Amino acid sequence: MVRAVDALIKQMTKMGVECIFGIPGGANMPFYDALYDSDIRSYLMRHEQQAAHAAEGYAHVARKTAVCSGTSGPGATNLITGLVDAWMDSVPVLAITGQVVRAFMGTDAFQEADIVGMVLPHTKYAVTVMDSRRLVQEFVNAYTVAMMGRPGPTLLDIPRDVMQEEIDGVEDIKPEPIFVQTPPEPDVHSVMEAAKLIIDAEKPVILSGGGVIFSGATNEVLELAEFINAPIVTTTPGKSSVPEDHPLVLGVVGMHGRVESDMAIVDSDLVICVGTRLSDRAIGPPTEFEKNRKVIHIDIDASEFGKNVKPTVSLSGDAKQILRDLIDYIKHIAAKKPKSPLINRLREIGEAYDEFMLEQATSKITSWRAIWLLNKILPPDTVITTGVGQHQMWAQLFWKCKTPGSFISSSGLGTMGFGLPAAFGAKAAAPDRPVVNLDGDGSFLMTCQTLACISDYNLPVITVIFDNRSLGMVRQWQNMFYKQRYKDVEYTDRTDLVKLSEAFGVEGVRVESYEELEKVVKQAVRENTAVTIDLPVGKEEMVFPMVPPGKWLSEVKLPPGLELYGKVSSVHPA
Amino acid sequence: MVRFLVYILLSNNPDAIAKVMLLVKQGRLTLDGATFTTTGDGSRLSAILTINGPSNKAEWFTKKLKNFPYFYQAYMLPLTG
Ligand SMILES: Cc1ncc(C[n+]2csc(CCOP(=O)(O)OP(=O)(O)O)c2C)c(N)n1
Repeated sequence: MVRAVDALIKQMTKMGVECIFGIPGGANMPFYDALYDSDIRSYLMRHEQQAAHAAEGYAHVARKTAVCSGTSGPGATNLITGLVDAWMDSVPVLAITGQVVRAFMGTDAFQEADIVGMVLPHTKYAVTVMDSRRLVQEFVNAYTVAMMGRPGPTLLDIPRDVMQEEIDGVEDIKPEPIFVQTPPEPDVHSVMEAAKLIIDAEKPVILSGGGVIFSGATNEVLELAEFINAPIVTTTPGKSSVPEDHPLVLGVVGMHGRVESDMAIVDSDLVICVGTRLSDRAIGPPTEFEKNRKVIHIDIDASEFGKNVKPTVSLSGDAKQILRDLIDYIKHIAAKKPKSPLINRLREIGEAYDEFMLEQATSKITSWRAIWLLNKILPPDTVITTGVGQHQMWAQLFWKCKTPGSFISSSGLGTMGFGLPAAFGAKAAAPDRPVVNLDGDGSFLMTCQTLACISDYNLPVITVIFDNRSLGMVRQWQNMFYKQRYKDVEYTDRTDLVKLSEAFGVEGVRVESYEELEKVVKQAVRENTAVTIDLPVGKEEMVFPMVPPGKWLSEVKLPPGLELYGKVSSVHPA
Repeated sequence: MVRFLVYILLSNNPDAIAKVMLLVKQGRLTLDGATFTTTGDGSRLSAILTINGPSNKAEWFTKKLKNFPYFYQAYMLPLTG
């Protein structure tokens, strides 16, 4: 006989769980007691939300299900934001929560909360394990299904007495059949139809989403693009799905996308959408997207077809496998397409934008130039995380990813405070790679206690705070859409971010020039040390391009003063 | 708008039933009727739902169910008249 929770930890080890992020409390204490004797590393976080975001960061880098834990009641409810975040961005995270003992359930007992009921809409699977003999089986189910099919969060809620009960030893447990979500084989007929559309298209564009990263389909996307000479644009979660220094990759599309990417979509007659849910942020109004162009939609989740955009052809399954079949078929029946002058034109538009922005930013520090500089000095395998706001948009505009899966941001939920804990989790997964959190002061202050973990576990994360003493993105919207009636968007100077970082044991530096920024970052990378850089930037900065909410990509507003009319007919200055 | 019948074979537990209803809500569908009956050894339920909503959402609903490991089968039948 063995304690159920010991059997659980044994199974976790067997399935390759190397670490968990969490906080112990009354109801999950047996879980921590069992961890005491195991090789699984546990990171003691300072808030359960941060544990969940850390798990997201870890899952992105390790490409496997990551585990976080909290006790019953407030410990569990604190995890929710992170779980919903993982849901929106399809990240495989398993939360293990303690629950009050079975006899107390349903009595409003101390720290009792129906966490399963609360997370049901935003998890792939959530269960309270009422029978200790099912505990290991339920773990195997929840851990496996988080990564199978379309990845997403799951939750295992375990009453304290269930953890402590003695059970017969368990061996060789496999997920139950309903938890094995094998992607369907590509449908041959649809592959042929899609191939024909691609061959006939004059201006095809590939839209690469986050699904490409988890499928490992980067090479296939590039191979297809090169064969048909099509530009590649990405969604925000798909930003690092393809190397952004590749000549066919234009960058992120959408509300704050690159202007050349928006124009590529506007100009296209076919969009090949891979591993994306085609969110409003990426494509604007679906009716406009569908107009005047054909759409091929490739996704592992067949419910995405027609949810927002009605595809001409849909292909359900694993992106890598579908693209492989598609490429092989196309190569069989058609010749490589010649280079199109359109790509050069689009690249010129992008270069004109970069040039215009960088010319303006010489005397005082601007967010975009700082990111452009960081991009030049940091190694190509650097993992970037971000908070949410203007700085995030500057990062998606000016950071160029070179390594698949190296840009981790809260894209779907837009969770301020995501950056620092996600960076911590990423560093736990890849201690030898530089991990840099590009943060806003508002976002940073939401989860800055993770600095304590960075210091305790010596997992050195570099944080650059784009410190505009304001909730910049909200301020920008108040400027543009609320007649500059600035309300509750400005911070005072009283919070000292350098001292705050030092209080947690992480060196803090206020940096006043690009030279200093370069020096501090290079040193931190060289010595693999943690540092928090407080970088003052102006609160009057506005992120452009911007497609106003609800408008089609052709109505993108450019930075005031940038003239692109000679290059493209449909872009307007702000 | 279409009216359709959905047949679902699901695990016999309240979370699975709640998940069905949450998807009805997410799809902004309306429910005309629902019956849940235990089948076999009692570990599964068979459900018949009559639902109203846009046709793309009806399809979405049936396909979405398949993402979740509570549901063994899901079929949709459009109703006319
Ligand atoms: C948890 C949370 N609360 C509120 C918001 C709404 N919101 C979006 S951007 C933003 C401002 C972010 O400020 P900061 O992190 O300083 O970044 P900046 O825009 O200044 O670069 C706010 C409040 C949000 N996205 N997340």
